[in-house]
Amino acid sequence: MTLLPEIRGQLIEAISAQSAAGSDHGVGASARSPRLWLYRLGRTTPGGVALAVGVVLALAVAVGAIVAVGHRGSERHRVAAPVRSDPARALLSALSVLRRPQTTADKSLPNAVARHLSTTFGPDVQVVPRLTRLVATLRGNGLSGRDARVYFVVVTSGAGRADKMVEIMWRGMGGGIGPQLSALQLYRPPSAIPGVGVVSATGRAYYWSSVVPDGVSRVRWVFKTRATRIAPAKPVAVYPSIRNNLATAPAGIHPTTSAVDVTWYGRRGDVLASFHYRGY
Amino acid sequence: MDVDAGEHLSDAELPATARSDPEAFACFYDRYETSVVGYFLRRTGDSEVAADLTAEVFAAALGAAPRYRARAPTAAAWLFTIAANALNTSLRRGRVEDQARRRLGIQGAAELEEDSLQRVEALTSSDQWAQEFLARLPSDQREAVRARVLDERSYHDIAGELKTSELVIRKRVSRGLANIRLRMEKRS
Repeated sequence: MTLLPEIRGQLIEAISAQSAAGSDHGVGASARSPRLWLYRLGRTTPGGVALAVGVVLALAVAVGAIVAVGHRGSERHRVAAPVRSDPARALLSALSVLRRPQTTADKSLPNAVARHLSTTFGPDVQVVPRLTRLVATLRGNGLSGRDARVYFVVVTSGAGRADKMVEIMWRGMGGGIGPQLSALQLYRPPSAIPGVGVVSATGRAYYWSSVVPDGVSRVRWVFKTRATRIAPAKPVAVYPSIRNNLATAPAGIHPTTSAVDVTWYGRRGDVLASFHYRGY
Repeated sequence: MDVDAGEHLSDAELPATARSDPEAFACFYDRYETSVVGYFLRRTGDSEVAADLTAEVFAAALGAAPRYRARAPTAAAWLFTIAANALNTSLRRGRVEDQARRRLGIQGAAELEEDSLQRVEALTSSDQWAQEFLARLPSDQREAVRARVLDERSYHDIAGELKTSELVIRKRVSRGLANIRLRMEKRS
């Protein structure tokens, strides 16, 4: 049984495509590899050895010059951006998903998101590319529903400090952008209160989601539905799944509620915090 | 896909064949996938990072296949050396590289299904208790016990990866297991 059939399939497809193309480059090989290129140059050209040596010397001089210039320039850089004072460190300490290495999927943040962020929050707000994370892919429903991707992005605020994060639910060409949250705001409403996202072109698949800081192992949301003429208001408890510091749960066809209670539990089942929100 | 064609090939032959033969690659991938995913999962604790690193390692192995020289009965030591390098680079740079995949013409990450991630996570849930004991061992014993007992690799492969002798690895595993046994007795 294959654990990751998607990766297996992707790699096999790539090999098949390269085999079919009959490429002289070979799979992964390295016509672009400098070592191989020099090797071939030395073997195939008359007087190629001399040429190869010349190329190596020229490269060495160029690299030496770059290192020398870079060394002088680095003093100023060190003063301007000390590594130790990473302003995102508060967010990094609260969300383990930001601390893990960035995966290839994390880098799939559409360019349009940056434009949306600028439109929503102003031109000073910039995405920090190394701190984008794809935290969930929510499945759409049926033929018309498209999958939605949920990203956490860290942004620079107006003062140029990378100390806020934004949850983004993106589907196709557009999506929803949550509020800017500092590390402190992750631990209190409204951040802790689940928001609703739509994952369907026809608007028939909804998900609740909220950011969950490290240490929270289980979450309970108790929604109180609105009373109607024929049915009284009643509480509905939901235990969302948690992955990558994001709690998500399908919200059904019509996520109308009037209030929600949120409880966070630790690893041993102890209550870490509880919130009440009366706003939907 | 029919993978029978690659099954008759030995570990020593597979890497060289796999770079141009999808069936041989499928066979090579199936032989080592669980070990490689488990290796990354135990060290990163994150199923998505483990999956991404696995994809990169197999792509890098294909790229390095022309330089592969079979000096051992299995290709495990060679593959896990690539894995260790990929892991160290990723941890140092804070991101999983995709250079090897791009050389293969792969753009972007594979879309992982929820089921796949759950299968990966299930790898660790079964040996959670062992991880707790392992965490308390000295680092050299921990690496040796993890590679031998959890990753089920041969002494020869582990010695190759850690650039030491089989005898040293055997001693580390033995001491590590004795240590764990002692702790278990104390607990009970």
